Amino acid sequence: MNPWGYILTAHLITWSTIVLYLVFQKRRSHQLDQQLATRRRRPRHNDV
Amino acid sequence: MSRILGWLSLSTILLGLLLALLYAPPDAVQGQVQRIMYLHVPTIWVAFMAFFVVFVASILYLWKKTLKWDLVARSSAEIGVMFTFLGIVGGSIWGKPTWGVWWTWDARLTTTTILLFIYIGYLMLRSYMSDDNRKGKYAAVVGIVGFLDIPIVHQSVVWWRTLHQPPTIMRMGEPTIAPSMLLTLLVNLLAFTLLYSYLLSKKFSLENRKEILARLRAED
Repeated sequence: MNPWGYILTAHLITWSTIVLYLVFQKRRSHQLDQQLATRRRRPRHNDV
Repeated sequence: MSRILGWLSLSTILLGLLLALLYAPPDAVQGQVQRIMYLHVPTIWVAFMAFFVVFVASILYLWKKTLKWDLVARSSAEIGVMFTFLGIVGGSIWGKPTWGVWWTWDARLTTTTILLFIYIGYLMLRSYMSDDNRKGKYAAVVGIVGFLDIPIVHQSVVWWRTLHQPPTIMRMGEPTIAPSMLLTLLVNLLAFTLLYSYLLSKKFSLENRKEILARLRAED
């Protein structure tokens, strides 16, 4: 393989992994925000 | 704050990429392929830094018994595992054109792989234990003991005869690297440090919200 092939493969794997990690974090963060909003809106058992 | 950190790390990463791919000269021995160093060294740097944060946060958690330190440790461990994995993969891609093999059981590669498995074990321990209090304590002990592998990883190229090159910057005396290459490496180290800080702030906020949600569920 051409040297640039190795360089670009290393960059592609590294940056795509980091971007994927950020995307999953963002999705999880959104889910948590929704769950927290639902919990806070719902009256607690001992409040009734 | 997190948004500023995000933009700051993105711009430094772009500058680092420009320097690594266009500005830095090719190596006299290895040629163009040595440019992988500007990715490989910062990746491993972040992994070490992340595990150092786990080490310090684990000590603080055992000492102060504050949940905040446990959240910092668990957030940093996950980032450290990802960067150790990326460091091994990047090193393997660099190894093929320079050593002729993708992998060899060299002391540096082996101790780094052990480091990866120690912290995968740390994350597994956290996810399989149900008692939150014991989970935090046991994980903190693994986080402290696991860190002992890092000086071994760093010194492995000095203590044993290895294929991996010896230290070029963190060594006694002057760094054995051209100034333009050193500048490129330092910019990339800064970019990855900022990226780590951004990822840690995001992950910490996520873990914090998870804790709040768990507490709300427990109160119901």
